[in-house]
Amino acid sequence: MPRTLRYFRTLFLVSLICSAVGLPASNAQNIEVPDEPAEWGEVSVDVLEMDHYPADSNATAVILSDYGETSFRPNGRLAFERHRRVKILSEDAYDSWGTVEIPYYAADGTERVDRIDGQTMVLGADGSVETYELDSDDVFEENIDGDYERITFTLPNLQPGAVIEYSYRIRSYQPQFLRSWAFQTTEPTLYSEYETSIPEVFEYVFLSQGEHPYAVEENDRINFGHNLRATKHRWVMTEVPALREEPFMTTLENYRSKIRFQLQAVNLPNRPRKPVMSSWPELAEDLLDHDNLGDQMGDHRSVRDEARSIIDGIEDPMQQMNAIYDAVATWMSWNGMRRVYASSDLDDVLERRSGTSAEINLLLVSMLQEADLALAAPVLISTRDHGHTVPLYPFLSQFNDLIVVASTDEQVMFLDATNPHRPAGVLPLRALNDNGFMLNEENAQWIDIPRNVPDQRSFFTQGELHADGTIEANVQATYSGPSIALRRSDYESADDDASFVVSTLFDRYDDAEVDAPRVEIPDARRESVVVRSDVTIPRYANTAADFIYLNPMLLSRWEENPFQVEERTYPVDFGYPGQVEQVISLQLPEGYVIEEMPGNMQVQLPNEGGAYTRLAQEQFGRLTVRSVYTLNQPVIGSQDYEGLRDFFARIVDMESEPIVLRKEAEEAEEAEEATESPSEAASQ
Amino acid sequence: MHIRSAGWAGILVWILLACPVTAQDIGPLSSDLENKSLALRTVPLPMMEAGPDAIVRRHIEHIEAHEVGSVSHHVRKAVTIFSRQGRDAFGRVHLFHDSFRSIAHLDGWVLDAEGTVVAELDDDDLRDYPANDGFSLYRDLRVTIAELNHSTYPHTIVFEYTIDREGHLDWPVWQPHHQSASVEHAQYMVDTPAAMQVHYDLRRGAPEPESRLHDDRRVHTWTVRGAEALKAEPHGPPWHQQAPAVHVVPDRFAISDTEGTFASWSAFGDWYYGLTEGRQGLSPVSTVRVHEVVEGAATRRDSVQALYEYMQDHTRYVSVQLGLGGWQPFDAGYVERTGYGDCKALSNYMQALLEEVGIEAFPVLIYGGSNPPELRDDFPENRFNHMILAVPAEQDTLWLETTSQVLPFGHVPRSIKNRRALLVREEGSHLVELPSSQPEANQRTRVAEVQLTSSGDATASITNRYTGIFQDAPRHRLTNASARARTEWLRDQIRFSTFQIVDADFASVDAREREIRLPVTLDLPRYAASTSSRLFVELGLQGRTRSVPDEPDDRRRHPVHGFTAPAVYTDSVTYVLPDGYGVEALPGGTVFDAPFATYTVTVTHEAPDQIVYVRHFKVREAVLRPDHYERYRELLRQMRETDAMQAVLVKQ
Repeated sequence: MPRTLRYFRTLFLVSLICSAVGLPASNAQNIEVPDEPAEWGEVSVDVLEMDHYPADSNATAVILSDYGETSFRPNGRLAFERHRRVKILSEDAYDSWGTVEIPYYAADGTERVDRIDGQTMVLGADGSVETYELDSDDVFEENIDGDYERITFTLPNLQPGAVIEYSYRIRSYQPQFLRSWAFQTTEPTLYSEYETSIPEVFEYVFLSQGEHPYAVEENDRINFGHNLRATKHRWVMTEVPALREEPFMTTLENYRSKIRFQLQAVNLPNRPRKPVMSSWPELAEDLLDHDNLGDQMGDHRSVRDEARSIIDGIEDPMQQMNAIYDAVATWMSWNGMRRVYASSDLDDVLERRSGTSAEINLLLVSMLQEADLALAAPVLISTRDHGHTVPLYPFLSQFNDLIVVASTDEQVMFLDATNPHRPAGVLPLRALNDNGFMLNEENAQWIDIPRNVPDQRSFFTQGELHADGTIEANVQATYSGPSIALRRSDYESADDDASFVVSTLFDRYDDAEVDAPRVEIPDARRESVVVRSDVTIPRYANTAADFIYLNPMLLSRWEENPFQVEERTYPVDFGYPGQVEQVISLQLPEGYVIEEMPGNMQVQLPNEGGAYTRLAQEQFGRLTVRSVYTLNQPVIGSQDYEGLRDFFARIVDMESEPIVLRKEAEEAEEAEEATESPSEAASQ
Repeated sequence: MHIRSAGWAGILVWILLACPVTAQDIGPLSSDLENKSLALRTVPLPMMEAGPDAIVRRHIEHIEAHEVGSVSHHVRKAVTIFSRQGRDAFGRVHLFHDSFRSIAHLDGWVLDAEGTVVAELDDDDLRDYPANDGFSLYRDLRVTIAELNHSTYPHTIVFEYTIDREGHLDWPVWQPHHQSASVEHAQYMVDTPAAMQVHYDLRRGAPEPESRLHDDRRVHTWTVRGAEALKAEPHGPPWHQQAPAVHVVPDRFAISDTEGTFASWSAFGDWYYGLTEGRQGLSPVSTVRVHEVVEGAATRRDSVQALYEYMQDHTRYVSVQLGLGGWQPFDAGYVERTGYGDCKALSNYMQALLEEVGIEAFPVLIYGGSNPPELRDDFPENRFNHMILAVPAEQDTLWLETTSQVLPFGHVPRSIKNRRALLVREEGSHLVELPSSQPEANQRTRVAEVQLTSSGDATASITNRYTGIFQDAPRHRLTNASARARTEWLRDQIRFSTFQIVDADFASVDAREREIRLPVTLDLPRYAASTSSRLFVELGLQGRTRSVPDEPDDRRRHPVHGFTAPAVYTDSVTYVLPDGYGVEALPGGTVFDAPFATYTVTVTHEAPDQIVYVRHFKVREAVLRPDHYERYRELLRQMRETDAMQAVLVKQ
């Protein structure tokens, strides 16, 4: 009965949408939301005829049905079986949906894939259903990097309108490998169901996330062989909208509707309950004793010796910390892999001068422990693309990276030595993700990852403007915080100071002539990078007849709004807070007066999230314009998106606004000869 | 690679390009490779003067041929490293291996400044991955990456390895120079049984070999000593087409159970013909279908078109490269069964369709992509990565690109235009020329009207027209794309920082018409910068031209790769002024005329409420003679200057 009701409701909704947007309703009204998973090979002509998906005009495919089931055998092994059916709406979906990749953990035979079937169903010219089966010769298996393997296949005879389906099984003997299930994908999903039958031997924690509600969420006690009971769980979602990437976001993973499982305990018959997932303190203890983590620290004489020799003669703990950090960052070459455990001993890592994030940062902690610090400890984190952490439950797979926290009596600093140019106290963008778990003998605990180091840039220009629009000035740019890494890295690969100055400051100006460049790259990475130079930019300002049009944003300018799209679903996350200050002070050419000058202005982001201020004034023939952009809150919720978009639109507007100078009438005649045919100059 | 973005032509890989390197018995050179001989003090002083990041001390490549189709390729490479950049460039080696190539030996070590070993390569320094090109479904090619690191500079990294090749066509091209390092001593030895004939070709000043007979072996040795880092000239051919090179091929080769020869292009074509022979069989069902498809066709050309479009509608590009399958096409039945194939399989399938109705067609081996390698009449070698199909007709030949579902029939895309290729037939395979085009064949035209308001907002109606090669990219990006994807594409094309699409018509993309006409209407909020009484309007729809390259130190040596193709670009924009505004300042235009290109911009203000901007750019030659470099720079300078011109409007 409820089934019929549901059907009507959907019909009604669909026809409403069709009439609202005036789409042809012909092949759309038949999309019925199923209330059970698809049967292999049974597809209706209606579904094959469907040529668009009314609820989402951007859909290139629709997941008609996705069904997964994990069940256990009496010996404790588990099998995951999936059957997925997808409607292909356009060629754009061939690569992402018509081709299937199944990665699995193959080391020690932990996971094995079999029973791979696939087929494509299309509507034949005579209206009958034609079916093309996937040939097992066209299924490929390859080793990705030793531990992981991948099955790849593509479905035959794809065409727009085709319905494809495939199924496979993954078996494992490790109950930890109970597969998670995503109800939501980058295309809309009509029906998605996951079922698990878990014998009472195994206790799991279920972690559900996402906005979309379950249509069904139920469980049942069932018999599981000999004297054993099991619980059967069933979760269903229907009409799940597509998840689509937006600029300045952390990761779609944080928003995807999905369910994950974490083994908590094993209850073997007639034995005491054996916790697998214990508590945070116990997990911390295990990790601190682990051969590839805690035990590495302080265990290697060569590492300790190296640390002592670096801090030899340095008294101040903060300076000791900086010296060790700088040394490790300079020596080590990061191989790009993010890890929680070290796979080599730290003395080997030190000798080899390269390693994973865990190896490099554990080496850093080990060395910092030789310094006079109040604290130096590893911190397990989940990088931004790996999603949020779950502090509620003590399981390790929520982490994928390791950084360092160190403190003196006065100051706490977060460190990551995987980039030779990054200053101490600045974390890479990937690490800015809420919180992390600090591993420390006395007080292992969750700590917030602060975003307290702003990206600061300031630009000062002082000089004069000539009647032909040429600017002659000396400039100074100062970079602090995260931008230090960028500048230091650029500087290392630059040919010389002059080319560095040109590419850093004057890239937009083809004919900028740089003189006396001075670049300060301090030995201590924490100190600001300062770039100074004299510069002449011929005909910087436009001129015409008696006018000069001057844009004062010489060294830094928002040329376009980073937020073009009108709507926003997820929060905007800039990563770091930031500030850009620009001051330009120019002596105006003799005989010119200001005709139009922009007023002093201030715009604000909602909730004091940021501000932009501009002040302009003229005194004794000298023009001074100062602008300050400040972003206090790097994360801005989608409810404030309109305000944010408007904020940048206003900034772009203000920064495009020229100052108009006009030659005073009485001096016009004399000046005419000096500036030869000004209108031609304007055309350059 | 830009070809990638075109998706369909991304097929480049069917011939396994990346030839790895090397071998084992370096015999006569071993004393030169002793660790002590690599101490820092032995570096020739002039090489130290520039403050190098790295110096290649020894680089020995040794091809040891055992019999036809079987070689060991030995490499020994020692590089002294002075900085992190040097380490990034030379600290690792990539060894490719597949069903024909295996790594027989790999070792490496680090020497300090005195030439003492301070570290050795161990298993932790090795990684092995599938060498996925990003578009193949599956390839058997894998890569082992070996990396050596040391933090004290300078140090010397030595790699030594051997790759055994059982089955090959030609051998690695030798290019002894480096872009970022000078070379103390480099050597290429081709060491074969005396009876085995080899052919070599010296390019761009590569040295002559020394040839010696040792018992029953012949050794050709090429040597370079004391070579400075070789920088590529800007806006020219890619570095590897500027640097000296030695191409060596064996007279006879063997792969899998096939044998062939590079004795002549025709003979090489014979080998390839053998791979394709007998693979065009169609099922009875298909046979019937094919005849139905051509039923209404009036001419032979119509038949070809009908079958080409049938092929487009029933197949897609999927690349699978396995063993000899890197060269040999899957048979037509495979494409029939799966509805997909790579360039070889699809071309072969297309050939089968045509043969069924009695139309003769030939596979053509070609290089798809920018900067095709030079093919010489007298030096046959394997420089191909793609296949198309040639259908000879009375007037001219039809070139069919079979990997695209969206290109109109007969369209020759930029990726295969204007180059030589090998037409394969049963007898008399030969080099053919794919034509270039006249400028008028490739047009990108924009006609626009921009209505300004006093607040600086605007509405623009723009008609974009793309013909010839300019339709390649929009077709692949826009055909069947979602509204969201189309908006993103427009955003990339148009310079306006903020816009909303009011209306856009993509009909001519969806139908495979000969050209694309794309009318759009846009709202452009805050289009003109404004003060209280003025509007500042950036004229034109053009993005920024590429920057002007530096003046050369010496006379320009290489041709200038200035433009994508002979083409005509026309932009014509009418700005309608808001009521009550007049013109205060208007930029002038420009005129540039050279044998290779004409560029004009005019800005006129005739009607009181209109400014008309017209930009006309005609490229006659895409590749310019070296002595046109100065004129080319002048053109770019003028284009840069006129890219961002501003008109000032003032309230009357």
